[in-house]
Amino acid sequence: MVASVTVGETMTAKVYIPTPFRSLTEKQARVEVHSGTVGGALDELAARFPGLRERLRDAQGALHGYVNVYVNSQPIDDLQGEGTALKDGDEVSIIPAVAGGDIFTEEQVKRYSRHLLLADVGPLGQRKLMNARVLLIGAGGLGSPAALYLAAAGVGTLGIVDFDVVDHSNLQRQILHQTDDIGKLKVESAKESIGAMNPNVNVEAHNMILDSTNALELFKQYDIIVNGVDNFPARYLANDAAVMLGKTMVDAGINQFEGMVSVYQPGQGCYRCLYPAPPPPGAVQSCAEAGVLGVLPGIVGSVQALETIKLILGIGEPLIGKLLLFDALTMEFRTLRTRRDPACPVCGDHPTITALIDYHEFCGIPQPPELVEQRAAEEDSHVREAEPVAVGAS
Amino acid sequence: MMMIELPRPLADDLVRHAREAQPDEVCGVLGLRAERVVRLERARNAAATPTVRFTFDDDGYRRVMQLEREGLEIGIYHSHPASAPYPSATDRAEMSATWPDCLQLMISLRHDATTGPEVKAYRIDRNGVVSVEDLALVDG
Repeated sequence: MVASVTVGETMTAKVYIPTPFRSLTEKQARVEVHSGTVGGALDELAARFPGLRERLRDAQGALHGYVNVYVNSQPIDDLQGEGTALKDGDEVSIIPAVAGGDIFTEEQVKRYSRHLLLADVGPLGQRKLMNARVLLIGAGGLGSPAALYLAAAGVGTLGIVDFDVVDHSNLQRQILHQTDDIGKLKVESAKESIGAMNPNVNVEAHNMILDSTNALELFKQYDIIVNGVDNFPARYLANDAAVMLGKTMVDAGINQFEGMVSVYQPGQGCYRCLYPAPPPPGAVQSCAEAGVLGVLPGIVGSVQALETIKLILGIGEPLIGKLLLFDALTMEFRTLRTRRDPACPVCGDHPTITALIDYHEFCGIPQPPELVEQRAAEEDSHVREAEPVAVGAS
Repeated sequence: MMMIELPRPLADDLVRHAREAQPDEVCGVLGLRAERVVRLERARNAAATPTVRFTFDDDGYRRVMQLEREGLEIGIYHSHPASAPYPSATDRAEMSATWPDCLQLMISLRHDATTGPEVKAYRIDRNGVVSVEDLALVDG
């Protein structure tokens, strides 16, 4: 028996041209080639049909990763690659890859893999997180852990409103800020920390004093409001604005060793239903006056992040109509039932407060002098219909 | 007006395939003749992260070759288990480079529990521009 080896011009193989390339091969589906190897056959084609080379090879001459080549239905990667010898009558097929996928990048798949594994989150839930817009009021003790956990979870847009700069005394609990950030605007420092943790998150920094003239316009842009204020005028302002816009608010407060968290959902009660009037000025000391254990806002702010994520995903039982009380010293969590007050002046059956008011006056507190100075510096007296309210570190 | 016809039995196969593999994406090849889908064949999703990516395996490519040999126009289908039946950025980038102008059938299961599956048809050109094709379910 004599083995016949045909080479050169006497050998004829066929190359099968896929539909997407036929515009370059004068509509031919099969083209005959005479090269002895796959690589040679591809170059022969490229020489014959202008434009084909770019579709097959990259600038360095390597086959594109998305071009699959088969010889008689065997992938050339399983043979000798482009050096695979061709015999008379072989058929070479070029098939571009068929691939695609969802909106997640490979980086996001890795980053959120523990979420994607959870039946209650999964790709659908992760997309909800990525589409969510959350506003954090205050980049302080509560806002720090809340912002970091929401960013780590992949919440797509985080708005942060704060007018303050980072102070040395903040660092004991406000983990968004580092020692090097002292003197920097809190919203800028927050933006840097969040960007370093998860660059997928879009941070909208609002360096401003939240007040009755701007709260509605700001809240309007977000789905959920996470309240981390440190004073009563700001608390009532945030509450009233959220109620008026029908926004859900994840509220929290801390004092020394105790914290509380509640979720106010439109139609199911608000902060005013629980506390219709503020305490007399001076009756409740602020953290700056009374002190606070640094880790306490870490726990309470993390609970706020958790509640926010549950609301976005629509899972579990958020603290709607409930008030969570946390005692750090006894390590006790207690949950009290709350209810909407039909006589509530903002969310009741017949509301008497239908527009934002002067919250410093309401709380019987003169406007803090530093705010007066800041406001004067801004020289925007034309919008001073209502008094500003401090939103700073809790 | 040009309209892609999808016979019901093939549409049922498509929905069945997408549902069986949830939460993974599924993919497969279509054979068309005169704007009518006449074949719908499953391909194994060989992507490393099949919940958010799809890619054919070698058997899938052999099916493409087979349908092309039979003289059919090639189409591609894939599912989005959780998102809209619209080509993602990844889909546009991949398809514009590899199978431009090829018919893409997409099925979304995002509202399967309530309003049911959604199926749409598109073509993606070399520049990644998506055009919507009219799709009609026809008795097979």
